[in-house]
Amino acid sequence: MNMYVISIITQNTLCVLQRVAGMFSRYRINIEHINISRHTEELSYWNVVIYSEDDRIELLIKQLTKIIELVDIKIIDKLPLEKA
Amino acid sequence: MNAISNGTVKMNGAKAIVESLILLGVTDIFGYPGGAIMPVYDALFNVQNINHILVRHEQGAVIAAEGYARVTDKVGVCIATSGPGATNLITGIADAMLDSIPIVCITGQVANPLIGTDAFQEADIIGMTVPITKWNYQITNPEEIPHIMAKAFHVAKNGRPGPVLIDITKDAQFGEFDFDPNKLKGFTYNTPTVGENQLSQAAHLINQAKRPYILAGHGITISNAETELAEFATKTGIPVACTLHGLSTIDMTHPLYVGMLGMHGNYGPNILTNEADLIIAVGMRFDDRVTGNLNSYAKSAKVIHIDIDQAELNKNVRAEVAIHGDAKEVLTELINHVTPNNHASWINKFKEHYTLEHETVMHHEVTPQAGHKIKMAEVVDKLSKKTGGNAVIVSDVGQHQMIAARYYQFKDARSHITSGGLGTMGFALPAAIGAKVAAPNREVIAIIGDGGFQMNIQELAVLAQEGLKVKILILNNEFLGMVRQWQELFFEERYSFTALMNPDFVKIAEAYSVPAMRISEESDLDKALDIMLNADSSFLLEVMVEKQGKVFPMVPAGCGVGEVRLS
Repeated sequence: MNMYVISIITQNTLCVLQRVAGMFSRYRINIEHINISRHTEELSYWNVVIYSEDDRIELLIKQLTKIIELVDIKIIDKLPLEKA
Repeated sequence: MNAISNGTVKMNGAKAIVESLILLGVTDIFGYPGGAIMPVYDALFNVQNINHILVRHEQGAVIAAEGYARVTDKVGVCIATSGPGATNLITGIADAMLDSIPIVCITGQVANPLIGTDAFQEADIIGMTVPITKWNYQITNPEEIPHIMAKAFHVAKNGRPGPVLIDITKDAQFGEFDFDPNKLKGFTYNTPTVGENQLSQAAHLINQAKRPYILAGHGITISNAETELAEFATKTGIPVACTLHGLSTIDMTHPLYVGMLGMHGNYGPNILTNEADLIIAVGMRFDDRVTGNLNSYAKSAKVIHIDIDQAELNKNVRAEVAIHGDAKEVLTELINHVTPNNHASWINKFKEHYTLEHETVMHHEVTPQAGHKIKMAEVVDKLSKKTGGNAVIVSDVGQHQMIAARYYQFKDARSHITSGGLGTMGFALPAAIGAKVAAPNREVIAIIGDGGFQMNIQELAVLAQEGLKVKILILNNEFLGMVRQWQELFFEERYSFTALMNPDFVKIAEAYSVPAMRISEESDLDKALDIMLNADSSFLLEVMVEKQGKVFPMVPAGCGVGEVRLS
């Protein structure tokens, strides 16, 4: 299990939050932290923090990439989680 | 109303929707009117360029649009009102999402000022369809119409196809604006570029393999790559098996065709997956019904996976060479990279397994037995021979679906239409309507079980109203047969709520002006099929088949393909 910080750029449109967030919940990945800010009139910048396994995150990113309103996505940080 | 060639014209949003459809090349749409879509219906009145087919339930419209898209290379279009009209589309939209069918659904919505007020027939159809559409959008300003409509068709058709829903508020339908047809232009699509390195790697594996195996999926049909598939297989001498949706991508009499994959596929194609040393998967997604238990799937094989959807690559099965590309383009390139070969002893293994399956299962299933009721496979086998494998077969979901897939000998492309991913009962009749509208000169035969037929039975009315010569073959075992089969095999014969007391389907068909007949005796089968096929109208033939019939071979749920059972 790792903590990932994901950076996303989307079009700034209605419903894009639901479409992106819905993909996380479909893969049963809880969003631990999310920050969305308007970058320009057309674009939003997202920072998302989640906990997940490597293979699951790979699949999730590929599915997110297919969202029509998504412009860019990358994992910007990955930290292994200590077992309690 | 005539299509506009250039220059802007003042019109309302509803007319702009219809103009956009015409300019985007749409000739047929399936729909059902209602309050929030009435302006669009008014704009459709007396329009010559578009043939509107009035269904009897919105689920019929969306599934008909799917059938239309599957038999052609076009985008299927359906139209419905807000609220219940829109929610009735949902099952069909989910079906199109799972089976990668390009459709555009247009729904009316309450006027913008009423949104969020729980207005009459208001439903948040955008919110509801987010997970089951490739893209959706709500139009509240008529100015957006041409651009959004063009984008809808572009998104639905290109890449991995899928459903798009466009919701348009009633005030946007009434709103006047300057329609500019040039705004329908500007969308271009480029298929992914495939690197020479990947092609060389794939060709190297193909040229070296001793027991290579092609798995052909729906992507072959979607990219119109049937000719390339046959050419690639012929040059390399590699056997070809098809997924359920891959059926009819290759002539089943082709010497390299070895059968269908999957839970109820053929014996050899399943069991020999584990003997292959190379799998070349083209336009298929290693669905769980194809692979069975992944832990024991194709462990001796390297995998070349070709798909237009990058998310499918390495999703279920890791690929040595994962090629993100269009099936037609990649196969065309690969044909030039591979060396001619043959794999006679490997193909003989498939033949040996076919012989075993034929003697153990198929021969008994298609051969009449004195004192026994008609078997589903006999009916499909006879139908296949009488039509020369040239019909479009549209099946529903269940035992008859697997029997149709197993025993009909498909010859032509785009001839097998069924609900594979979602498994939508009630699919066959509306999908056959869509297919017949799209291909009026082809023989379209809906093969349906007695359960599924009753899920969209109301669409019989469309056949008479539109004069569609769809043939309907009901294989009636008075059971939800596939569930009954599982109850028998895996639930200790506890037949919980699977027996059906059915209405008189012949009387129902006749009430809908569809000529019909029922047979129960083997001796009547030939003549009855001839009557159905020769009818110069729609026709319903109900065949009473054995109640306890089971579909074999079978890979039980959770088992590996190597555990395929013949009985």
